[in-house]
Amino acid sequence: MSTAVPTNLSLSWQLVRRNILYQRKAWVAPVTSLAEPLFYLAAAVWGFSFILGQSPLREYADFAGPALLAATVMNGAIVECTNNVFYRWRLAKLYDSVICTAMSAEMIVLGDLIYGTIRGATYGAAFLLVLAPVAGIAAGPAIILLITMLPVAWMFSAIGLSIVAHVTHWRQLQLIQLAIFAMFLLADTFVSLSNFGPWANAAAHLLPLTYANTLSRTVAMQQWPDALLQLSLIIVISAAASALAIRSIARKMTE
Amino acid sequence: MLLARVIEAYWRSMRRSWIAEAVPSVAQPVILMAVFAGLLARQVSEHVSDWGAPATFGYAQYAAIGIACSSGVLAGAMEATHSAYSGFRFNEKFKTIVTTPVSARVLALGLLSVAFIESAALTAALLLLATPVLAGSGLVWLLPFMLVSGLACTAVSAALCAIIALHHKTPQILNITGRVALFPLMLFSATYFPSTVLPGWLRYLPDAFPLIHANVTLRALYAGHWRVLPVNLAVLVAWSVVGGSAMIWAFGRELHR
Repeated sequence: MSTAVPTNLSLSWQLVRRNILYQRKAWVAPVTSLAEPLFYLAAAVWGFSFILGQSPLREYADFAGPALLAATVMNGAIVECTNNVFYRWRLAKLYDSVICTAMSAEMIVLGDLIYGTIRGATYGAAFLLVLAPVAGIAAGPAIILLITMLPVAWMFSAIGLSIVAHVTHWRQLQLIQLAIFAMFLLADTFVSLSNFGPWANAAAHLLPLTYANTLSRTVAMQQWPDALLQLSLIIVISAAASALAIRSIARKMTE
Repeated sequence: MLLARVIEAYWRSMRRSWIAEAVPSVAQPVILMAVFAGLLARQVSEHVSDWGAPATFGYAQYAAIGIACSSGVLAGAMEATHSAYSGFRFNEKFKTIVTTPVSARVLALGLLSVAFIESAALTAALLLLATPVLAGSGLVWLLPFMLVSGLACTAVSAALCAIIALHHKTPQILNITGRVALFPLMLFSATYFPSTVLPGWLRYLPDAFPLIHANVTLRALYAGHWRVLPVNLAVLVAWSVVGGSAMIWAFGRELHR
């Protein structure tokens, strides 16, 4: 079976349009999803700064804020590409109908990959509107930060699709949510990796969110060489995960 | 007798998906404890206390007690929320059940009991898992008080959800309840840091809910400050009575109209 990425993007874009139109009717869930990182940001600024005895309060927000941005992008992209794709594919059987049209399985996956990336980046943009004044990020780096969140959203969309290819029951989605939650807390988000032991530190570097957090922080602090290194790593992971997702889902859809 | 049958029926239905329910319920607070009571506590040099009370233990104990208590009571709250909404709206099984000798009151009490049992079991498991951090005689007094706390929080949240379910027809309300109400309540009810550090009116908001009383009192009991017990215990018992009564009223109103 061919796993090459299709060149006709217009058909995949039809799926993206369909998802956007559907989402306009069901806007409550995405909006309330955004509340969660904002509450965490408030906790970082008011609560954890106090616990850590940091003054001024902005110091800890500078550490946790950019990481929360990456985590927000991750949540938007991965929830779309696991829960929602599972619903459309396995429960609503939408793709059984779509695949009977001119659209191939690869184009469906590509459409979901694009939509997941858009959704993750949109979450990131909304969160950045609050984060930039709180963490004192200037307009220039904020725009660059937003652009760099696109590959992050792409990476998590691709990872989500690679995983959802093997999900057969909705209960397994709860275990995926648990894994995302663990990654969120253990990937240098609230606690610096310097507090981890050598083994835990090595394990944290296996988590894709660790690279996204580092990218977000280095861009916010305008450390461009480090940011470029992280960005390259994320693009490599994204490309590999995309190829895997297209191959796995296309095989499952057509078998 | 009927109440026991209702509890048994709930239990049978929960058993079908116990792995999906139990694994995240236990694993999430364990991860939270590992990160906040384990890793973040290494960065905290000073003791932390609530409401200006003398600080006698470190942040590891502060966070471990807060996370164990909040996770236990919120597990009960979520169970009650989802079961109530499911029974009223998804499959409308409550309407069928009340055509049998089981009344709306027994149904409400049954749901409350199941949620409370789940909350108590999780709380006990988390306390057991937290013993490396929470060593000492104060630990003995935490469990009974946690049970009262769990009952109060479960009763209040189940009552609120049942009342909300009377007016909302779509499951999106569960998302809103979880993300916009229960999650910030856990975050700002002295679970990870004292509510006194919050700015302005926000610091008084958690006082209106039972969770903060549970967290603060548990830490005081652990440290041996018994003076805080009568007032907070009275507050939680009052919440249990008000929440339980409101739930029975809401169930009755929805199922007998």
